[in-house]
Amino acid sequence: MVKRIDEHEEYIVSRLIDYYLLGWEPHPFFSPFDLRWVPLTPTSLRTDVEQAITNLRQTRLAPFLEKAGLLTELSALPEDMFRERILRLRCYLAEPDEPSEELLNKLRLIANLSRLLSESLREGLSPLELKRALRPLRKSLAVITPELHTLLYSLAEHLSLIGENSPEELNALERETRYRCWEWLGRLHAYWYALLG
Amino acid sequence: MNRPSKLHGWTEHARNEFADILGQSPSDQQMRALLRLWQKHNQQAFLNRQGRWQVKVVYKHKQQSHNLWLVAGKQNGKWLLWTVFEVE
Repeated sequence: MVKRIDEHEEYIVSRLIDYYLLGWEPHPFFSPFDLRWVPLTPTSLRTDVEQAITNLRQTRLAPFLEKAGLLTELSALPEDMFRERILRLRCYLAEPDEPSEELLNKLRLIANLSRLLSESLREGLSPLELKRALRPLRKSLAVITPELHTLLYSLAEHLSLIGENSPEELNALERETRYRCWEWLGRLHAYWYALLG
Repeated sequence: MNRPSKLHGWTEHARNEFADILGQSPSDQQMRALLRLWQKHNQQAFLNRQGRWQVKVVYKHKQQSHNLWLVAGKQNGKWLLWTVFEVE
């Protein structure tokens, strides 16, 4: 018997998956100046996502869980594999068809970048650590999402101020880097929701 | 603030950033080539949000070509090439 699931429940599952993949939960009173806001730790969310997926097994979404490889012991899946399968399910929730490799590549990249920026805000990475970590992702962005060229410009412009011998004032640079992370995250998430709804 | 028509040198940071772009440390000659590009194109420079002058140039060396943004900033009263960047 197929258990009924309403649109609101599907919406909630989609959002939960987004938060998990992006490492980010928008605060209802979100403001980049609200220091009480803390970016999510994706690992703490995994159990919630696993539970939500398990609850879908008797619903109309079961065939999509099967196609995404999620009708299995979820807790036994390694992190990368779990994330990949969840991403595929998220695509099925947006459009019940096979996602193109092009779309998947864009989403993987946006999610990776979002998690890195969230981690930077959460863990307080130094500007230099962030710059180093961003290097390979910037190259991928240029190839996989050339439509985000203005974001690439913003990254290149700001990161060009960061370096071991930077003449910038360190506290100001750290503060500005933090604000830029918020801004970049906002742009990435707008793009993510434009692609997936 | 007047736009500098000529730069007096470069910061160590600008050299490091240029090295990142080239994949190897630039020679003084290569750094001076950037200063000459500034001199040639400074009329197109604009004030960026940090209050520094910025202009886009094409740097060519051997078989390589790079679209570079040059940023000029003042240090100890002298205009220097502050940083340089390329958008992938």
